[in-house]
Amino acid sequence: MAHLITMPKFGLTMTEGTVSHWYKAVGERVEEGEVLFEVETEKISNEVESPAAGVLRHIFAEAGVTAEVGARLAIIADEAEDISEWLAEPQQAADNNSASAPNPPAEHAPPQDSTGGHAAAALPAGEARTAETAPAEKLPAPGTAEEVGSGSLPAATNGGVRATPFARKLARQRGIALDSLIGTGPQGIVVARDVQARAADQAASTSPGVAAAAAQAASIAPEKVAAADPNAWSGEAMKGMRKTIAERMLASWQQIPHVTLTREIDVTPLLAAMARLAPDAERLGVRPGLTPFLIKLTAAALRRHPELHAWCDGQTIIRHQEVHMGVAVSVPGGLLVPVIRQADRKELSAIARELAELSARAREQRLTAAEVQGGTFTISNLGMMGVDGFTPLLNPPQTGILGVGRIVEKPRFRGEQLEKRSLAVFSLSFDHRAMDGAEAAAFLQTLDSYIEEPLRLLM
Amino acid sequence: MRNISFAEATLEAMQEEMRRDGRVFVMGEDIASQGGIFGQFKGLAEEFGRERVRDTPISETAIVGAGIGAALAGTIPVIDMHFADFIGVAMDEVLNQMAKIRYMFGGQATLPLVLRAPDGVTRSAAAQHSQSLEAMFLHIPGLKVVVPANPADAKGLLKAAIRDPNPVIYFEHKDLFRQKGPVPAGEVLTPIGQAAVVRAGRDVTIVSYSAMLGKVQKAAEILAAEHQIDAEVIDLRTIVPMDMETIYTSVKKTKRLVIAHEAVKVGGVGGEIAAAVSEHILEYLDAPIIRVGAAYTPVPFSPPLEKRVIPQVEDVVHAVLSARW
Repeated sequence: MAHLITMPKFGLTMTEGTVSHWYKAVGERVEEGEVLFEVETEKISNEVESPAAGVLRHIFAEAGVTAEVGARLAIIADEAEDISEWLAEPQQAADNNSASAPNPPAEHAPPQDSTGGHAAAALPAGEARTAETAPAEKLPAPGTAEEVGSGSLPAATNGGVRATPFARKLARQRGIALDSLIGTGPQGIVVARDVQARAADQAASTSPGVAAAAAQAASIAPEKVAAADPNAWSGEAMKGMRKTIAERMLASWQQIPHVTLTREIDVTPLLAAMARLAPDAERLGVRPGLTPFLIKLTAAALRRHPELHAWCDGQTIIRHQEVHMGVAVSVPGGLLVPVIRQADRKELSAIARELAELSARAREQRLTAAEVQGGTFTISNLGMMGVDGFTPLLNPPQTGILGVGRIVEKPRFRGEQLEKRSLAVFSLSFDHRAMDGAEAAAFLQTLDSYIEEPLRLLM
Repeated sequence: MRNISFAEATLEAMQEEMRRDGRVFVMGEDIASQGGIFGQFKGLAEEFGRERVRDTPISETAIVGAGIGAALAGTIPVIDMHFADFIGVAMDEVLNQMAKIRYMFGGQATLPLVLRAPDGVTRSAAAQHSQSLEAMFLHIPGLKVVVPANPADAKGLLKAAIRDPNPVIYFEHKDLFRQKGPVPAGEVLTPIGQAAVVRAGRDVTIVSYSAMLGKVQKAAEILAAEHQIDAEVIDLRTIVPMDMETIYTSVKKTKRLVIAHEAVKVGGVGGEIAAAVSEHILEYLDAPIIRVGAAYTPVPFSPPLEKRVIPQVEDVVHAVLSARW
């Protein structure tokens, strides 16, 4: 039995992926579970295992090719099996709109792996309904899934997304693709408020101010710069992660009125506390770095300032019960912000362990989409790179981001005494639509009080 | 309006119906001599005599069977099971005779019979005297089942049940008998098959009935005060026929549904409601339907264990929070 390998979908927002490497050549044998190829998406790169044993008989998409989710990539079959009908161009099912086309037989689909990861290619039901995923004659008789995707949107864009029935209904009514949304329900499920927030967002983004800004941005497109003197540049189009970061940061900068407050905080007591806890940390097998401490202290401070661990789209403010702390991690080719969930409720050792794990996988580019979504606040620490202070850009729709500068020893008056103290600049950028300076300043005050006396965490 | 107890309200219903219609009579164990375990028949024998208020031997099969025969013969019997748990003894009479006779006679005979069944948990009555069995009768076509939650409905539903030409099982929660509430003097009829929205709200629908309703109402107050959640509370009042329209209308508004009953959660009325809602108005749900019910175990004798097994106010609060999303 031949197996059709298709472009998997990692995470909610993935629409296409680039096959970056085939680990097997045509004619080579592959075992079930063996790594077959690597896919690069906007956010992550994943190794995909073979769903079946056999011979890699044909490759539709060579390394470097970008293909839509669900597109044909390769065929695995027995050596002698006739695969000619699998190679035939998929019939354009003109009489069969994509919404009502049935799934291909299950054995064509690699096993679904909800964690994304590198384990297996996920073939979501909706994507599988596109006619091009399998030769038409292999399909079972149509006629079961008729109402699944009825309405203005093709089911193909929505089938694999976890969403509540009411969110689906709203999305259908408002013509919003579910897979373009980030769910705020449990485990990232899309709920009605996510659709409503997007609808409000779309209404806002059609305002002339934003359109004008976008037009202006287009006028300084790099192709035009390069065209002026082709020899002066070695240019390449921004793609993948770089492109995503570019788009998101531009949107953040243009659409959100940022204000950054800075405060120099005496971290001497924090360093002392760290030093005292170091033997315990070692015993627990965690790295006693500064960042886990800052995550814990910031999360505690955020609990007292709910306006800063909230989301804002310009229309509504969504306040979160829990702090899901994003931590900016530099990776080759860009920046990832894995999220430590419920950071306000986790023990320091748990945070340290999770951070180490997430950072390691971020650098290997093996984070799942779920691990980089749903953050309610972000910490960006450039202190170790020797930066004194900076203006962190908000990570929309979050309303706050904290930048951490380097620790510098300076003389400081304590009463009448001049002492050598360790100081660091903390920079808090906030969304001025969602709150005002005083509220943000109060947060820095709280954070200062925790850093100055980490024991307050116990209260 | 006067405040009287649930037991007094049912007694008043009996008195009014027996005075109104000479065909109404009542029988069961210890009704005439003792006035019922909860005082719900107190003084009836003195007013109406022992022909119309009859003590019976301890034989549920005979009591229900005699009631069915008497109803076919033209009277309106109200029969008492002492504890709902004992209906099991007379189950053949209930499910094969009482529920089916109108149907099998092609409608040529009516069966105006009320089976009173004190149910639910109260003060360590242990496993054989504490059950809530309403879901069993929801599953038997041919019966009506009512479950009043307050003295006014206790009176109104009992009067409506007595006037109904069909067999009605009247579940009266033992823990409610002593509870007082406003009850109009004189004629009160609560229509069978009509739920009541007892608290309007927009964030979540909580459906309940019988004694559990009181806990749900407390939970709704806590949700409003501490969590800014505006719960709509529905009192089913009748299990069969069930007023799904009221539930659908509410869920379409709130998008979330929690069902709470004291009966065991597994195979309970909550499961039926959840299934019907997802079958008919799935696209209005923005969170999973949550059921609250007793643990899947016989009710323990031990007071702390009994409390633990039966859903409490905080269980309802927790369920709503988990359905909030």
